[in-house]
Amino acid sequence: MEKSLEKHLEETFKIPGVSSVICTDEQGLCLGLKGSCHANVAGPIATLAKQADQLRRTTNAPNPPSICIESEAGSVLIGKKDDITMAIFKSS
Amino acid sequence: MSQLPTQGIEKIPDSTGYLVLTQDGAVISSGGDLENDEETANKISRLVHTATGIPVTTDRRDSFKRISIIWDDFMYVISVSSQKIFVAKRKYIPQDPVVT
Repeated sequence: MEKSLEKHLEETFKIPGVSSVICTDEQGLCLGLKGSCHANVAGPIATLAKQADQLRRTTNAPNPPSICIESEAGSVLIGKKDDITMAIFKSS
Repeated sequence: MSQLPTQGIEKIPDSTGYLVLTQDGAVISSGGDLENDEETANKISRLVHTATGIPVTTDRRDSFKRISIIWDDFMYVISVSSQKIFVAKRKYIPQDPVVT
């Protein structure tokens, strides 16, 4: 499993404009990261994904939401699949 | 003339509801789907506080200007300005990819 996660992180990190990639589990444990971001952002990212998922009242939501945090100099894209949350940091 | 507390957020095209909150999550103004929706207001206020703990870039002075939370059919767009949290709920209409 670790091999495929490493490969996935590596491939995503190669995309132009991507400065860091991080994967966390539901509890906010950092499963892997590439780039300049610190492993301690794993906690807030997992919490944010959970809080965003709870914003939808109906329980029949097909997919968890995609989250995008934008600033003047970059953006963070957060997505969740099964128990894994992935965040991609992009600089503009 | 005093400025409207909503700053024109109620006029956003495709908007189905809006909220204007104080930093601690109290509702200043609301409308549409989100009218008097204090439960969503509290959830969004907590979410914004979580988002402040995520550094978007390595520059410490750089803080976020917009959070979008997107489902298949609708989205919340959240922005913070002058100590207030502005939330717009909008229909999500994905753009077709450009074919060259």
